[in-house]
Amino acid sequence: MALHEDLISSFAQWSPALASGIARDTPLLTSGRVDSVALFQLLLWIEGRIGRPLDVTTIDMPAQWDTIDLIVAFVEREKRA
Amino acid sequence: MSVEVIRYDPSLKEELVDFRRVTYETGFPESRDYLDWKYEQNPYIGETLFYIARAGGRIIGMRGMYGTKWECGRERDAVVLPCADDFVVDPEHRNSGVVTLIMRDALADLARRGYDYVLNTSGGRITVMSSLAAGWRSAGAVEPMVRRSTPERARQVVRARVRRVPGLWRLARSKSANLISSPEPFRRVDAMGRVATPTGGSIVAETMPRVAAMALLVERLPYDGRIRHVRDAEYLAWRYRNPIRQYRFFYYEHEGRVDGYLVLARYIECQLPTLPFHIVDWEGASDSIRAELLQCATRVARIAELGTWAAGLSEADRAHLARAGFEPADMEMRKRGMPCILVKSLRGAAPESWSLHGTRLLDPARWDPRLVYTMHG
Repeated sequence: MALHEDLISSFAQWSPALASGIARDTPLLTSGRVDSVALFQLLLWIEGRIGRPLDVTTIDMPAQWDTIDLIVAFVEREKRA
Repeated sequence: MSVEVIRYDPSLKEELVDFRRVTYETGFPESRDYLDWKYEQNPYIGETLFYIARAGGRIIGMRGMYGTKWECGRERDAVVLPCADDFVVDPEHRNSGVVTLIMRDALADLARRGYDYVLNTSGGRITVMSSLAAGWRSAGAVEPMVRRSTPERARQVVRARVRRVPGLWRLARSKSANLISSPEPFRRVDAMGRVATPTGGSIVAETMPRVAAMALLVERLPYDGRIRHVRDAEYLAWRYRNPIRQYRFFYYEHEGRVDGYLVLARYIECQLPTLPFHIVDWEGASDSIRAELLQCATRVARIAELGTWAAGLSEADRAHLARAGFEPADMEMRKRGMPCILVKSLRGAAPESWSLHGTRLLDPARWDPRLVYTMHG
Protein backbone atom coordinates (compact mmCIF):
# COMPACT_ATOMS: atom_id res chain seq x y z
CA MET A 1 0.00 0.00 0.00
CA ALA A 2 2.85 2.39 0.86
CA LEU A 3 4.39 1.92 -2.57
CA HIS A 4 1.08 2.71 -4.27
CA GLU A 5 0.69 5.93 -2.31
CA ASP A 6 4.31 6.90 -2.80
CA LEU A 7 3.98 6.42 -6.56
CA ILE A 8 0.74 8.40 -6.82
CA SER A 9 2.25 11.31 -4.90
CA SER A 10 5.42 11.06 -7.02
CA PHE A 11 3.38 11.38 -10.20
CA ALA A 12 1.78 14.51 -8.75
CA GLN A 13 5.24 15.98 -8.18
CA TRP A 14 6.47 15.08 -11.65
CA SER A 15 3.55 16.78 -13.35
CA PRO A 16 0.74 18.96 -11.99
CA ALA A 17 -1.52 17.50 -14.68
CA LEU A 18 -1.15 14.15 -12.93
CA ALA A 19 -1.91 15.50 -9.46
CA SER A 20 -5.59 14.67 -9.59
CA GLY A 21 -7.60 11.74 -10.73
CA ILE A 22 -5.05 8.95 -10.71
CA ALA A 23 -6.44 5.76 -9.23
CA ARG A 24 -4.59 2.48 -8.91
CA ASP A 25 -6.16 1.21 -12.13
CA THR A 26 -6.03 4.40 -14.20
CA PRO A 27 -4.37 3.74 -17.57
CA LEU A 28 -1.32 5.98 -17.62
CA LEU A 29 0.68 5.00 -20.69
CA THR A 30 -1.95 3.72 -23.10
CA SER A 31 -4.10 6.79 -22.38
CA GLY A 32 -1.18 9.12 -23.03
CA ARG A 33 -1.48 10.75 -19.61
CA VAL A 34 2.15 9.97 -18.84
CA ASP A 35 4.76 10.78 -21.44
CA SER A 36 8.08 12.52 -21.96
CA VAL A 37 9.97 13.52 -18.81
CA ALA A 38 7.54 11.89 -16.36
CA LEU A 39 8.32 8.53 -17.96
CA PHE A 40 11.99 8.92 -17.28
CA GLN A 41 11.22 9.99 -13.72
CA LEU A 42 9.10 6.87 -13.39
CA LEU A 43 12.07 4.80 -14.54
CA LEU A 44 14.29 6.41 -11.89
CA TRP A 45 11.60 5.84 -9.26
CA ILE A 46 11.42 2.14 -10.16
CA GLU A 47 15.21 1.81 -10.20
CA GLY A 48 15.35 3.45 -6.77
CA ARG A 49 12.99 0.80 -5.41
CA ILE A 50 14.69 -2.21 -6.98
CA GLY A 51 18.20 -0.91 -6.35
CA ARG A 52 19.69 -1.29 -9.83
CA PRO A 53 19.48 0.18 -13.34
CA LEU A 54 16.91 -1.33 -15.66
CA ASP A 55 17.37 -2.12 -19.34
CA VAL A 56 14.12 -0.53 -20.50
CA THR A 57 14.33 -2.06 -23.96
CA THR A 58 13.58 -5.48 -22.46
CA ILE A 59 10.29 -4.33 -20.92
CA ASP A 60 6.88 -4.37 -22.55
CA MET A 61 5.90 -1.04 -21.01
CA PRO A 62 2.28 -0.81 -22.18
CA ALA A 63 1.65 -4.25 -20.66
CA GLN A 64 3.77 -3.91 -17.52
CA TRP A 65 3.67 -0.24 -16.54
CA ASP A 66 0.26 1.00 -17.58
CA THR A 67 -1.29 1.43 -14.12
CA ILE A 68 -0.15 2.05 -10.56
CA ASP A 69 -1.06 -1.54 -9.69
CA LEU A 70 0.94 -2.94 -12.61
CA ILE A 71 3.99 -0.78 -11.81
CA VAL A 72 3.98 -1.81 -8.15
CA ALA A 73 3.60 -5.47 -9.13
CA PHE A 74 6.52 -5.01 -11.53
CA VAL A 75 8.66 -3.53 -8.72
CA GLU A 76 7.78 -6.37 -6.37
CA ARG A 77 8.71 -8.95 -9.02
CA GLU A 78 12.00 -7.22 -9.83
CA LYS A 79 12.91 -7.00 -6.15
CA ARG A 80 12.49 -10.75 -5.84
CA ALA A 81 14.41 -11.49 -9.07
CA MET B 1 -8.56 22.68 -24.35
CA SER B 2 -9.35 21.10 -27.71
CA VAL B 3 -6.30 19.83 -29.61
CA GLU B 4 -6.28 19.05 -33.33
CA VAL B 5 -3.52 17.34 -35.31
CA ILE B 6 -3.07 18.76 -38.77
CA ARG B 7 -0.79 18.16 -41.76
CA TYR B 8 1.88 20.60 -42.75
CA ASP B 9 1.32 23.11 -45.46
CA PRO B 10 3.81 25.82 -46.44
CA SER B 11 1.70 28.57 -44.86
CA LEU B 12 2.64 27.08 -41.44
CA LYS B 13 6.35 27.23 -42.06
CA GLU B 14 7.18 30.46 -40.24
CA GLU B 15 5.09 29.53 -37.22
CA LEU B 16 6.63 26.08 -37.15
CA VAL B 17 10.18 27.38 -37.32
CA ASP B 18 9.44 29.86 -34.52
CA PHE B 19 7.80 27.16 -32.40
CA ARG B 20 10.75 24.87 -32.83
CA ARG B 21 13.24 27.61 -32.07
CA VAL B 22 11.45 28.63 -28.88
CA THR B 23 10.51 25.19 -27.62
CA TYR B 24 13.26 22.86 -28.78
CA GLU B 25 16.03 22.64 -26.25
CA THR B 26 18.91 23.24 -28.62
CA GLY B 27 17.63 26.52 -30.05
CA PHE B 28 19.70 26.09 -33.20
CA PRO B 29 19.62 29.26 -35.27
CA GLU B 30 19.84 27.02 -38.36
CA SER B 31 16.38 25.61 -37.72
CA ARG B 32 14.88 26.70 -41.03
CA ASP B 33 17.76 25.43 -43.19
CA TYR B 34 17.89 22.23 -41.20
CA LEU B 35 14.19 21.49 -41.66
CA ASP B 36 14.35 22.39 -45.36
CA TRP B 37 17.27 20.06 -45.88
CA LYS B 38 15.96 17.13 -43.89
CA TYR B 39 12.36 17.15 -45.07
CA GLU B 40 11.88 19.23 -48.23
CA GLN B 41 15.09 18.15 -49.94
CA ASN B 42 14.87 14.52 -48.76
CA PRO B 43 15.48 12.14 -51.68
CA TYR B 44 13.02 9.43 -50.56
CA ILE B 45 9.80 11.07 -49.41
CA GLY B 46 8.84 13.93 -51.67
CA GLU B 47 6.24 15.36 -49.32
CA THR B 48 7.13 17.16 -46.11
CA LEU B 49 5.65 15.04 -43.33
CA PHE B 50 5.09 17.10 -40.21
CA TYR B 51 2.30 16.14 -37.82
CA ILE B 52 1.37 19.33 -36.03
CA ALA B 53 -0.78 19.69 -32.91
CA ARG B 54 -2.62 22.99 -32.50
CA ALA B 55 -4.66 24.33 -29.61
CA GLY B 56 -5.90 27.81 -28.80
CA GLY B 57 -4.87 29.04 -32.24
CA ARG B 58 -1.20 28.09 -31.96
CA ILE B 59 1.17 25.18 -32.46
CA ILE B 60 1.76 23.16 -29.29
CA GLY B 61 3.56 20.13 -30.70
CA MET B 62 5.10 18.60 -33.79
CA ARG B 63 6.72 15.46 -35.06
CA GLY B 64 8.58 15.06 -38.31
CA MET B 65 9.02 11.98 -40.50
CA TYR B 66 11.84 12.03 -43.06
CA GLY B 67 12.64 9.43 -45.67
CA THR B 68 15.29 6.74 -45.34
CA LYS B 69 16.17 3.86 -47.66
CA TRP B 70 17.46 0.59 -46.23
CA GLU B 71 18.88 -2.52 -47.86
CA CYS B 72 19.44 -6.05 -46.66
CA GLY B 73 20.09 -9.59 -47.83
CA ARG B 74 22.20 -10.99 -50.63
CA GLU B 75 20.09 -9.30 -53.27
CA ARG B 76 20.41 -5.95 -51.50
CA ASP B 77 16.64 -5.58 -51.44
CA ALA B 78 15.85 -1.96 -50.69
CA VAL B 79 12.89 -0.37 -48.96
CA VAL B 80 11.99 3.23 -48.13
CA LEU B 81 10.92 3.75 -44.52
CA PRO B 82 9.87 6.91 -42.70
CA CYS B 83 12.11 7.86 -39.81
CA ALA B 84 10.66 9.78 -36.88
CA ASP B 85 12.50 12.83 -35.62
CA ASP B 86 12.08 16.36 -34.28
CA PHE B 87 9.53 15.57 -31.60
CA VAL B 88 8.75 18.83 -29.86
CA VAL B 89 5.90 19.47 -27.42
CA ASP B 90 5.27 22.72 -25.57
CA PRO B 91 6.22 22.08 -21.90
CA GLU B 92 2.76 23.25 -20.81
CA HIS B 93 1.20 20.42 -22.79
CA ARG B 94 3.41 17.51 -21.73
CA ASN B 95 1.81 14.62 -19.85
CA SER B 96 -1.54 15.69 -21.27
CA GLY B 97 -1.97 13.18 -24.09
CA VAL B 98 -0.61 15.45 -26.85
CA VAL B 99 2.35 13.14 -27.52
CA THR B 100 0.00 10.19 -27.92
CA LEU B 101 -2.39 12.20 -30.08
CA ILE B 102 0.35 13.27 -32.49
CA MET B 103 1.87 9.82 -32.73
CA ARG B 104 -1.44 8.00 -33.25
CA ASP B 105 -2.30 10.37 -36.07
CA ALA B 106 1.17 10.09 -37.60
CA LEU B 107 1.27 6.30 -37.47
CA ALA B 108 -2.21 5.98 -38.95
CA ASP B 109 -1.25 8.33 -41.80
CA LEU B 110 1.99 6.46 -42.52
CA ALA B 111 0.10 3.16 -42.61
CA ARG B 112 -2.37 4.69 -45.10
CA ARG B 113 0.59 5.72 -47.23
CA GLY B 114 1.63 2.08 -47.46
CA TYR B 115 4.65 1.90 -45.18
CA ASP B 116 5.04 -1.24 -43.08
CA TYR B 117 7.40 0.12 -40.43
CA VAL B 118 8.61 3.37 -38.97
CA LEU B 119 12.05 3.89 -37.44
CA ASN B 120 13.68 6.25 -35.01
CA THR B 121 17.47 6.29 -35.17
CA SER B 122 18.21 9.46 -33.18
CA GLY B 123 15.97 9.44 -30.13
CA GLY B 124 17.23 10.86 -26.85
CA ARG B 125 16.32 9.18 -23.58
CA ILE B 126 12.95 10.92 -23.21
CA THR B 127 11.89 10.08 -26.76
CA VAL B 128 13.08 6.49 -26.34
CA MET B 129 11.06 6.13 -23.14
CA SER B 130 7.95 7.67 -24.72
CA SER B 131 8.33 5.41 -27.75
CA LEU B 132 8.77 2.22 -25.73
CA ALA B 133 5.69 3.19 -23.74
CA ALA B 134 3.81 3.43 -27.03
CA GLY B 135 4.82 -0.04 -28.18
CA TRP B 136 7.99 0.67 -30.17
CA ARG B 137 10.79 -1.88 -29.84
CA SER B 138 14.55 -1.61 -29.75
CA ALA B 139 16.45 -3.10 -32.68
CA GLY B 140 19.64 -2.88 -30.66
CA ALA B 141 21.80 -0.54 -28.63
CA VAL B 142 24.35 1.43 -30.60
CA GLU B 143 27.23 1.33 -28.07
CA PRO B 144 28.58 4.89 -28.03
CA MET B 145 32.34 5.26 -27.67
CA VAL B 146 34.51 8.25 -26.90
CA ARG B 147 38.17 9.08 -27.29
CA ARG B 148 39.35 11.76 -24.90
CA SER B 149 42.64 13.59 -25.12
CA THR B 150 44.86 13.60 -22.03
CA PRO B 151 43.99 17.24 -21.12
CA GLU B 152 40.29 16.48 -21.60
CA ARG B 153 40.55 13.47 -19.28
CA ALA B 154 42.08 15.71 -16.62
CA ARG B 155 39.28 18.27 -17.11
CA GLN B 156 36.68 15.52 -16.72
CA VAL B 157 38.19 14.46 -13.39
CA VAL B 158 38.20 18.06 -12.13
CA ARG B 159 34.59 18.62 -13.26
CA ALA B 160 33.45 15.44 -11.51
CA ARG B 161 35.10 16.58 -8.27
CA VAL B 162 33.73 20.12 -8.56
CA ARG B 163 30.20 18.78 -8.98
CA ARG B 164 30.52 16.95 -5.65
CA VAL B 165 31.57 20.05 -3.70
CA PRO B 166 28.58 22.03 -2.34
CA GLY B 167 28.38 25.47 -3.92
CA LEU B 168 31.08 24.78 -6.50
CA TRP B 169 28.81 22.94 -8.91
CA ARG B 170 28.16 26.22 -10.72
CA LEU B 171 31.75 26.15 -11.93
CA ALA B 172 31.19 22.87 -13.72
CA ARG B 173 29.79 22.97 -17.24
CA SER B 174 26.04 23.31 -17.21
CA LYS B 175 24.36 20.37 -18.89
CA SER B 176 21.88 22.63 -20.58
CA ALA B 177 24.45 25.07 -21.95
CA ASN B 178 24.87 25.48 -25.68
CA LEU B 179 28.42 25.02 -26.74
CA ILE B 180 30.20 26.47 -29.77
CA SER B 181 32.68 23.79 -30.71
CA SER B 182 36.28 24.56 -31.50
CA PRO B 183 37.12 25.10 -35.18
CA GLU B 184 40.77 24.21 -34.53
CA PRO B 185 40.61 20.45 -35.23
CA PHE B 186 39.25 21.03 -38.73
CA ARG B 187 41.83 23.78 -39.34
CA ARG B 188 44.50 21.22 -38.54
CA VAL B 189 42.87 18.74 -40.91
CA ASP B 190 42.71 21.36 -43.68
CA ALA B 191 46.45 21.97 -43.32
CA MET B 192 47.31 18.28 -43.47
CA GLY B 193 48.43 17.73 -47.07
CA ARG B 194 48.99 14.25 -48.48
CA VAL B 195 50.23 11.58 -46.06
CA ALA B 196 52.03 8.47 -47.28
CA THR B 197 51.04 5.25 -45.48
CA PRO B 198 53.00 2.06 -44.68
CA THR B 199 50.71 0.02 -46.96
CA GLY B 200 51.78 1.94 -50.05
CA GLY B 201 48.82 4.26 -50.40
CA SER B 202 48.29 7.80 -49.27
CA ILE B 203 45.65 9.70 -47.33
CA VAL B 204 44.24 13.12 -48.17
CA ALA B 205 41.56 15.11 -46.37
CA GLU B 206 38.99 17.25 -48.13
CA THR B 207 36.03 19.42 -47.23
CA MET B 208 33.65 17.96 -49.81
CA PRO B 209 32.40 14.41 -50.24
CA ARG B 210 33.51 12.50 -53.34
CA VAL B 211 30.12 10.89 -53.53
CA ALA B 212 30.70 8.83 -56.67
CA ALA B 213 33.97 7.36 -55.38
CA MET B 214 32.50 6.67 -51.93
CA ALA B 215 29.42 5.00 -53.39
CA LEU B 216 31.58 2.93 -55.73
CA LEU B 217 33.72 1.75 -52.83
CA VAL B 218 30.65 0.74 -50.78
CA GLU B 219 29.31 -1.08 -53.84
CA ARG B 220 32.46 -3.11 -54.46
CA LEU B 221 33.24 -4.04 -50.83
CA PRO B 222 31.91 -7.41 -49.61
CA TYR B 223 28.43 -7.12 -48.07
CA ASP B 224 27.15 -9.53 -45.43
CA GLY B 225 23.46 -8.70 -45.92
CA ARG B 226 22.87 -6.92 -42.62
CA ILE B 227 20.36 -4.08 -42.58
CA ARG B 228 22.04 -0.84 -43.54
CA HIS B 229 21.16 2.43 -45.20
CA VAL B 230 21.71 2.59 -48.94
CA ARG B 231 24.84 4.66 -49.53
CA ASP B 232 24.62 5.56 -53.19
CA ALA B 233 25.74 8.86 -54.69
CA GLU B 234 22.26 10.38 -54.39
CA TYR B 235 22.07 9.62 -50.68
CA LEU B 236 25.60 10.74 -49.89
CA ALA B 237 25.18 14.00 -51.81
CA TRP B 238 22.07 14.79 -49.75
CA ARG B 239 23.37 13.44 -46.47
CA TYR B 240 26.50 15.55 -46.32
CA ARG B 241 24.62 18.77 -46.98
CA ASN B 242 23.34 18.72 -43.37
CA PRO B 243 23.52 22.44 -42.50
CA ILE B 244 24.14 21.99 -38.78
CA ARG B 245 27.20 19.84 -39.32
CA GLN B 246 30.57 20.40 -40.93
CA TYR B 247 32.46 17.44 -42.37
CA ARG B 248 35.98 16.46 -43.24
CA PHE B 249 36.56 13.49 -45.52
CA PHE B 250 39.72 11.41 -45.24
CA TYR B 251 40.35 9.35 -48.39
CA TYR B 252 42.78 6.48 -48.68
CA GLU B 253 44.02 6.40 -52.27
CA HIS B 254 46.04 3.74 -54.03
CA GLU B 255 46.94 3.90 -57.72
CA GLY B 256 44.36 6.60 -58.29
CA ARG B 257 41.51 4.70 -56.67
CA VAL B 258 39.70 5.41 -53.39
CA ASP B 259 40.13 2.26 -51.27
CA GLY B 260 38.86 3.70 -48.01
CA TYR B 261 37.36 6.73 -46.36
CA LEU B 262 36.62 8.08 -42.90
CA VAL B 263 34.25 10.98 -42.24
CA LEU B 264 34.61 13.34 -39.28
CA ALA B 265 31.60 15.47 -38.39
CA ARG B 266 31.48 18.59 -36.26
CA TYR B 267 28.46 20.21 -34.66
CA ILE B 268 29.13 23.91 -34.99
CA GLU B 269 26.87 24.34 -31.98
CA CYS B 270 25.57 21.65 -29.68
CA GLN B 271 24.20 21.06 -26.23
CA LEU B 272 25.87 18.91 -23.64
CA PRO B 273 26.13 15.99 -23.20
CA THR B 274 26.18 15.77 -27.02
CA LEU B 275 29.76 15.60 -28.23
CA PRO B 276 30.70 18.13 -30.91
CA PHE B 277 32.83 15.73 -32.99
CA HIS B 278 32.10 12.24 -34.30
CA ILE B 279 33.36 9.68 -36.72
CA VAL B 280 30.16 9.13 -38.70
CA ASP B 281 31.30 6.67 -41.35
CA TRP B 282 34.38 4.55 -41.91
CA GLU B 283 35.04 2.15 -44.77
CA GLY B 284 38.12 0.47 -46.20
CA ALA B 285 39.11 -2.36 -48.49
CA SER B 286 41.17 -3.95 -45.68
CA ASP B 287 41.68 -3.87 -41.93
CA SER B 288 45.00 -2.10 -42.36
CA ILE B 289 43.46 0.65 -44.54
CA ARG B 290 40.75 1.30 -41.94
CA ALA B 291 43.38 1.32 -39.20
CA GLU B 292 45.54 3.82 -41.10
CA LEU B 293 42.56 6.09 -41.73
CA LEU B 294 41.63 6.05 -38.06
CA GLN B 295 45.20 6.65 -36.95
CA CYS B 296 45.63 9.52 -39.39
CA ALA B 297 42.34 11.24 -38.53
CA THR B 298 42.87 11.08 -34.76
CA ARG B 299 46.55 12.09 -34.97
CA VAL B 300 45.95 15.06 -37.26
CA ALA B 301 42.66 16.42 -35.86
CA ARG B 302 43.66 16.06 -32.16
CA ILE B 303 40.03 16.35 -31.04
CA ALA B 304 39.50 16.71 -27.30
CA GLU B 305 36.43 14.44 -27.27
CA LEU B 306 35.67 12.34 -30.34
CA GLY B 307 32.62 10.08 -30.38
CA THR B 308 31.53 7.16 -32.51
CA TRP B 309 29.44 3.98 -32.31
CA ALA B 310 30.81 0.47 -31.91
CA ALA B 311 27.64 -1.54 -32.58
CA GLY B 312 27.90 -3.51 -35.78
CA LEU B 313 31.69 -3.19 -36.05
CA SER B 314 33.88 -6.23 -36.64
CA GLU B 315 36.20 -7.43 -33.88
CA ALA B 316 39.11 -6.03 -35.89
CA ASP B 317 37.55 -2.58 -36.07
CA ARG B 318 36.68 -2.65 -32.37
CA ALA B 319 40.33 -3.45 -31.71
CA HIS B 320 41.39 -0.51 -33.92
CA LEU B 321 39.15 1.78 -31.85
CA ALA B 322 40.56 0.44 -28.58
CA ARG B 323 44.14 0.91 -29.79
CA ALA B 324 43.28 4.47 -30.79
CA GLY B 325 42.09 5.17 -27.24
CA PHE B 326 38.32 4.88 -27.64
CA GLU B 327 36.39 3.74 -24.57
CA PRO B 328 32.72 2.92 -23.93
CA ALA B 329 30.75 6.11 -23.23
CA ASP B 330 27.32 7.07 -21.84
CA MET B 331 27.56 4.27 -19.30
CA GLU B 332 24.44 5.34 -17.41
CA MET B 333 22.40 5.13 -20.61
CA ARG B 334 24.08 1.92 -21.76
CA LYS B 335 22.90 0.17 -18.58
CA ARG B 336 19.36 1.05 -19.61
CA GLY B 337 19.69 -0.23 -23.20
CA MET B 338 20.08 3.25 -24.67
CA PRO B 339 20.77 4.86 -27.02
CA CYS B 340 19.20 2.48 -29.48
CA ILE B 341 17.47 2.16 -32.83
CA LEU B 342 13.70 1.98 -32.47
CA VAL B 343 11.22 0.23 -34.73
CA LYS B 344 7.45 0.07 -34.84
CA SER B 345 5.20 -1.94 -37.10
CA LEU B 346 2.43 0.04 -38.79
CA ARG B 347 0.45 -3.16 -39.43
CA GLY B 348 -0.08 -4.28 -35.86
CA ALA B 349 1.94 -7.46 -36.38
CA ALA B 350 3.51 -9.30 -33.44
CA PRO B 351 7.05 -7.99 -32.78
CA GLU B 352 8.69 -11.38 -33.30
CA SER B 353 7.48 -11.31 -36.93
CA TRP B 354 8.82 -7.86 -37.81
CA SER B 355 11.17 -8.23 -40.77
CA LEU B 356 12.49 -6.59 -43.94
CA HIS B 357 12.62 -9.02 -46.85
CA GLY B 358 12.99 -11.89 -44.38
CA THR B 359 15.65 -10.19 -42.21
CA ARG B 360 14.52 -9.90 -38.60
CA LEU B 361 14.26 -6.27 -37.55
CA LEU B 362 14.56 -6.85 -33.81
CA ASP B 363 17.76 -8.89 -33.98
CA PRO B 364 20.68 -6.54 -33.29
CA ALA B 365 23.04 -8.93 -35.08
CA ARG B 366 21.14 -8.25 -38.31
CA TRP B 367 21.97 -4.52 -38.25
CA ASP B 368 25.00 -2.51 -39.33
CA PRO B 369 24.16 0.76 -37.56
CA ARG B 370 26.25 3.83 -38.35
CA LEU B 371 26.05 7.40 -37.21
CA VAL B 372 25.77 8.60 -40.78
CA TYR B 373 22.41 6.85 -41.10
CA THR B 374 21.05 9.00 -38.29
CA MET B 375 20.59 12.66 -37.52
CA HIS B 376 23.40 12.35 -34.96
CA GLY B 377 25.65 12.15 -38.00
